[in-house]
Amino acid sequence: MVDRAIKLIVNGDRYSVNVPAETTLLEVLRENLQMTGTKFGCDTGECGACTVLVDGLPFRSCLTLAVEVEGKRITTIEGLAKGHELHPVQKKFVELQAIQCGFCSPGMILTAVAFLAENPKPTRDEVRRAMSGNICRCTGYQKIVEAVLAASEMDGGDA
Amino acid sequence: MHLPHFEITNARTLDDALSVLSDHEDRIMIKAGGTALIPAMKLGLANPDRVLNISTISGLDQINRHEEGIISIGANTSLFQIRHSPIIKENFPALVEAVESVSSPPLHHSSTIGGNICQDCRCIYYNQSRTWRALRPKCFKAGGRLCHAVPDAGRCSAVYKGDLAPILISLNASVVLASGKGTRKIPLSEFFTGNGIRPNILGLTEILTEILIPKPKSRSRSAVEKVRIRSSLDYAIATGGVTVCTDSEGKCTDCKIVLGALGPGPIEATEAEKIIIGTIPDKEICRRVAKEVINKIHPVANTESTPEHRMKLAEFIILRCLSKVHAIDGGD
Repeated sequence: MVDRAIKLIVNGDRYSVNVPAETTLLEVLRENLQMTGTKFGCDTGECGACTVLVDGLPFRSCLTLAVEVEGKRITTIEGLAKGHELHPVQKKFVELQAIQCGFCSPGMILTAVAFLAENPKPTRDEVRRAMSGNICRCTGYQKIVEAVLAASEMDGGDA
Repeated sequence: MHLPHFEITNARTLDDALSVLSDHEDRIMIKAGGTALIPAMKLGLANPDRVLNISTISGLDQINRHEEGIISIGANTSLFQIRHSPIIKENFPALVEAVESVSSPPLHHSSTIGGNICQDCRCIYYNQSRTWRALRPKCFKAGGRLCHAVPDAGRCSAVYKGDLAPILISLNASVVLASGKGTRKIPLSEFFTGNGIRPNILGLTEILTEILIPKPKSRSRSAVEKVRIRSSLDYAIATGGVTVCTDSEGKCTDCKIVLGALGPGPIEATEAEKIIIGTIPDKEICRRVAKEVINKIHPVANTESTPEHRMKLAEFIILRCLSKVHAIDGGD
């Protein structure tokens, strides 16, 4: 088993890790870089808890091999706020209590950020459809939809 | 679940990829978006020594309009690209609808049309964890000699659940398969084997590179329907695509009805098509066609829904599609 040296750009910082080809981006983030904000959920691409942004687009990090994202710009939940200033989507998730246990929140928030960048003024139905790939077992989704819509009204897609 | 160990080749060109394939043909698997292969490897359903990553090949993700009236879609084109392509939206709105129904929107960035077409058949007795499967004898699909869903079947009954093949077949799409010896173009309807173990004819040293769809004729319309347990994420329990052509008086001159997720491959309902061709379709004719469709399908108890339910769904899906393309009320 030969490790590969991989250079990653995570939240604007450069990292180099030595991992075998079969290592997923999720494993590198959580185990090599200790960024545990990205959650380990179903591990088969269904639940969306492990969503990160790769060059601004949402990807399941459990289905993405680390070797595939070499040189690409990766954003995790740890890199969304600017200093102490939360991203508009994060702010609305907090204000509107779109979080209960919080396990799905990083994936939900990053999916919403990418969606609002693509569609800054969505309808409620568009939000529901866009967020339908992320599973939450607590909130019933209503507050999450409200938070994404509220973030869209404060230009949440600009970040 | 950690992935088992494998080597990976990130192909830069199609020639590179074909060369690697012919060097390792026995124990290599092709990965495009990885949304099917990676979970299969985690569950121990696929165990290649080497993975050939074709998502790194440049130029395989283009959508082009050709002079001879053909629209080509590169196999690596993502479902997101297809959803947003002006060429596809203008010419094949039903294909866009089918793409929107695949899995969930975030996965459309990594899923590709080629991967969707080439996906493996699925079965509730096969797509399970190693532990779950270890409690039962191996089925045909796992290399054993029985089918848990239909014990006396003598063959694998796994289901092909691709959402795009039915509508693409109804649109008379072809696929281009490349190998070191050259390329071959075959109708998509002939790409599928109807065998749950190996659902398509793609050779061990071949790569699907392109999907070719003839530009629709004037007065041609298409529709798709998909039913699944959850309205997102899930694979279909029944799906279908219909394309019809009519003349200036509204008489149906051509009709293709293709069902999916009801057997080991897409199923064209040729007898049902004959009922509608030559008629000016009305509600009654559409109902007769939908009833005839169920004679063509033989679903078995190997999905999240019962065979009886899926028979009813097939009839419902085709009635809905025909009602949509002929703008007839009554598809509810």
